[in-house]
Amino acid sequence: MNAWLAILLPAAIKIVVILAIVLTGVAYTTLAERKVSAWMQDRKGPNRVGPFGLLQPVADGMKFFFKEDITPRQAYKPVYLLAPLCTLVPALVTFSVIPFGTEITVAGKSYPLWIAPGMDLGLLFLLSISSLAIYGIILGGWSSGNKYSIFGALRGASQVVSYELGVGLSLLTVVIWSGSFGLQDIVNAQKGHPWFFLTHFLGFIVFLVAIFAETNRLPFDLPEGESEIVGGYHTEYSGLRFAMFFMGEYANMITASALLVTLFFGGWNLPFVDWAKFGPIWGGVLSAAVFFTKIAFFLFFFIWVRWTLPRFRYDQLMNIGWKRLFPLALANLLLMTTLMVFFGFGVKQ
Amino acid sequence: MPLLKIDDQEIEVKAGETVLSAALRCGIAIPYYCYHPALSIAGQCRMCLVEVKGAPKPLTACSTAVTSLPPDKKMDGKYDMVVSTKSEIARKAQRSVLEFLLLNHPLDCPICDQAGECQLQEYSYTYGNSSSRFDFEKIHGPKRVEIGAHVVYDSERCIKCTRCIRFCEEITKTGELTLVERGAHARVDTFPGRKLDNPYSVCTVDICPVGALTSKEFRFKERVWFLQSANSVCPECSRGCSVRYDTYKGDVLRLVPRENPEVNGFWMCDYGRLLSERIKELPRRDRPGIRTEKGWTFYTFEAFWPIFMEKLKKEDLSSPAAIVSGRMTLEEMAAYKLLAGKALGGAAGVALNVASGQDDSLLIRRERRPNLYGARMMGIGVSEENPDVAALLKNKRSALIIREDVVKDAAESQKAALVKALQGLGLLIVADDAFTATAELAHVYIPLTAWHEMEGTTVNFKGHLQKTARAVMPPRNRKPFHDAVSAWLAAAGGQAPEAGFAAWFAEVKKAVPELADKSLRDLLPRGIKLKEAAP
Amino acid sequence: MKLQRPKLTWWERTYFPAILQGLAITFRHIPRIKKRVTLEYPEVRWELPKKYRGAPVLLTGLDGHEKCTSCKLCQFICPPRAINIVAGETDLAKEKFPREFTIDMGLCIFCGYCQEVCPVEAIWLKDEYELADYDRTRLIYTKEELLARGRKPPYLPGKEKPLTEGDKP
Ligand code: SF4
Ligand code: SF4
Ligand code: SF4
Ligand code: SF4
Ligand code: FES
Repeated sequence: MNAWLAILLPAAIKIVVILAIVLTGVAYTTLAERKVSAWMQDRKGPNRVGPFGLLQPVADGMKFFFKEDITPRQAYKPVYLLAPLCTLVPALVTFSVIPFGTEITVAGKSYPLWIAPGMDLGLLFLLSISSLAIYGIILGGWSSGNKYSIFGALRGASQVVSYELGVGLSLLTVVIWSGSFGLQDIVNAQKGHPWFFLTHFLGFIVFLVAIFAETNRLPFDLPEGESEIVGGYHTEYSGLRFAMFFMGEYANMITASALLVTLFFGGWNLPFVDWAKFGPIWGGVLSAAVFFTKIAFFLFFFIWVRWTLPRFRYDQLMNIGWKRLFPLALANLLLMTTLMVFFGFGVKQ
Repeated sequence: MPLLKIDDQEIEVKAGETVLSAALRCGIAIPYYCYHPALSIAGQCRMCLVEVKGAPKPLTACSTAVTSLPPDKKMDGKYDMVVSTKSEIARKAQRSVLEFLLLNHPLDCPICDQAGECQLQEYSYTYGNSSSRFDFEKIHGPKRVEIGAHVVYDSERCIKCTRCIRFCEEITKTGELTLVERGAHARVDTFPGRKLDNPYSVCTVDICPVGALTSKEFRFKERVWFLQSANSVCPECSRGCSVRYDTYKGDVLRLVPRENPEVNGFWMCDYGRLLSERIKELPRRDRPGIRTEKGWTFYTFEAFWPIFMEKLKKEDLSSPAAIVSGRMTLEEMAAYKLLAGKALGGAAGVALNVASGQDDSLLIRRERRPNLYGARMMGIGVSEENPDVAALLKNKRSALIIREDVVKDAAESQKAALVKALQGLGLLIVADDAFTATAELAHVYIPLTAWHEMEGTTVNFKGHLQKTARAVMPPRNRKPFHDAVSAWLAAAGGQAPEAGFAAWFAEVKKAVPELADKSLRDLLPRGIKLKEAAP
Repeated sequence: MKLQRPKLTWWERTYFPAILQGLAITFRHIPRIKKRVTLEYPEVRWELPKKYRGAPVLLTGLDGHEKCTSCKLCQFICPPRAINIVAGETDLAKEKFPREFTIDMGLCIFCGYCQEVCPVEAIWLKDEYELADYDRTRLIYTKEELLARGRKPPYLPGKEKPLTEGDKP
């Protein structure tokens, strides 16, 4: 009994805390999106609700809540109603394996700062879960019974399939170098070692581009492409169900940023800083803070790119995916394995 | 035959034919105002000036006849007359006449009812100047003069073509109008103590080429370019004048005559024209209904028939008195015949010959029903003039009355007896386009489309068959009688032609051998004269 | 037509220089706090250009009656058919007047054709733009409303009464 409690209680607390952080993050990323885009366009952005518009996400949420939830007559109901969950839930679940800090030691017992410690296939789990999100898009688009929605869904599906390759291949080098699928191992491998974006620059670039496509962000937001297909897969959605798609997109952005940080930017590591020196509690808290700051930077980067680049044409998207990124990722894999096998590079743990 | 050359065209003309009528016959455009094919030639407006070779000045085409020259004097070796409508002289004459006509013209176009169908506007665009050189105060004259009960005159707009005057002198031979004052002050007026009150007075409005004469009923109703038109037939007497219904947003705003030499020439009577006003006052009911002790219940067209069939089971409709009408189209009469054979025990039916007034020498006919000739053709008996309907109902348990308001048309002395006879019936079915006094006494009311709300064919007293067109869409539960018969027979479980004009016109064709090889297109726009088959 | 595409170097063809350039441009705008163009609407208002086309209104003539003679040219020209007029006869010199004159502001596209076409300058596009309402039926302006809105001819600002002969526009 007690043994169970000892495992479940800390896990539950961590889940609650992480969910709170991620969901608040989602809310404020939407605000940041609007603010930053406004600034980039010499506007002021939302500033009416709360000081500097800080309560805007709350207002948005209330608005979504009270909006009419419309189900089109031609929709296939069960799938139509569930599809938004399919994008939101996987995006949230991925956080269970992401290590967001070192560990906190309370009463002689140390609690690692990730929800599912000891998961040594963390990266695989993460990839498989996060690629579930596309089901939400496909199902939502298909079940809406609307040609624009199905177009959006098809675009989304083919886009994800094409770029999944780039993501997978570029990650492989990281896995090979650090010798583990466990995310904490990958983070540890970057401790006292150049962060992987330096050593795997090519892989990093491929991953960066591909992850934009995976999250359907501009310049790769073809599944929504307002100017061509109205709203793409979520054309028919409204109210809370639309909000779920919306939150799913931003949650995916946070996941993507977390992955970038974990795999290429040293996770919670800072150069020449050993968190253990800051004491049993502060070490963990500060490392988590560093981790989230890095995430925030990448979120900003996502927004920055979105408001700078226009959308690619569909054929350009496919060209980049298959004719540029895929060969590049293959070359990168070859290069890195060669370096490791014949020249002894890599991280020994 | 003299050979005439107008511009580049050679035309053979009868000796004595005018240049203008020859040109019109061949589609050469010569502007004109005072010329009218039905009126004498006045040479009043000078609009038709053309250059004639050898003449010292431009001549009016409307009053210049072509005559033969001796063979050795022919122009260019073969022409008897060479006319130019586009030469510099002709152009200048046209321009100058228009400038002259517009000198004191008020240019009321924004409020003038004629705008849009005004010859002055049209010719100004085609032949006139775009600006005026007249910088002085225009001469003003009386406006809004009511010269007749239905006609308003505006002297400022009048171009003194005298068409209206000649119409009253030559066509109606009443001669109310004349030209008074002189020069720029000349205006049309009635003789002292007279009014323009002949039964064709509004025809002057039609022939007035400008907006000087306007119809009181149509005045300011709608600009003509908003109107939607349908070519149809006037239903008000057995002449069956060819008319055009002008409608706007489902309201009939005016009826104007169409040219049809065999029927009405260019004219129609004021009574027929005022149909547009009478239409509005008819009490309409847009749904079929059944009256019980509790009063009327109305149903949609579809829901009505099963209920009606239930009612028929309880009543005896085997030999009803059937009163049909010369207001029915041939299709409706064919439908009645079919219905009589299948559901009314072969009741022969009698079409009432409602008559009033006197035939006159122009158009008006005493018979007030347009299609009595058609009734005879379809084998439906026609009663004597203004019959006693109560007598027709004698010994009958039930009656079917179609498109007749017998109560209203009955003579005062017979009215009470008729109402009593109608009330004494076990089952009275009235089918009409209005909820008339007769309909109020009925047990069953079937709403029909009005004459202008349906297509049909009708035959006038001389055997001239014309097609009417649908001028406005009827409400959805009001159908032509033939469509009601289709629904009736279908509800009774029998075979019936499908609803709609086309199917029932095919039935008419079967009944009238002369129509067998005719298509609808042959009936447009002026109808056909049936061979003398008059019963 | 043959389009002359600029020759790109290998580096340029990776898109990276252009992307970085773009990122730099957008980034430079972030701190330009002084140059924000946002107009905080209900409090701060836009200064309208002279020929701004707002709500169409009906003008009153010197005699205190609507100038409109109900010629329906505006009704004819109006692209979305927002105008509906029922004409009537009047004893005034103009003979014809609009018994009813409605403009459906839900349809009006502020094109100004009605003003352009009116032969008596009876209809005018005013500088009024706050026309939203919660009820569509209230967007159908009657003749009285249109005249009330057009009370002050816009070319004589501040004038409450109809013009008299002495007023020079
Ligand atoms: S008569 Fe013709 S030209 Fe004269 S005001 Fe009327 S429409 Fe205009
Ligand atoms: S009223 Fe009309 S028809 Fe009569 S003279 Fe004048 S213009 Fe001619
Ligand atoms: S501004 Fe244009 S749309 Fe509006 S009423 Fe006038 S003509 Fe019609
Ligand atoms: S165009 Fe002018 S005068 Fe004519 S109806 Fe419109 S507002 Fe009235
Ligand atoms: S038409 Fe010839 S003078 Fe009038």
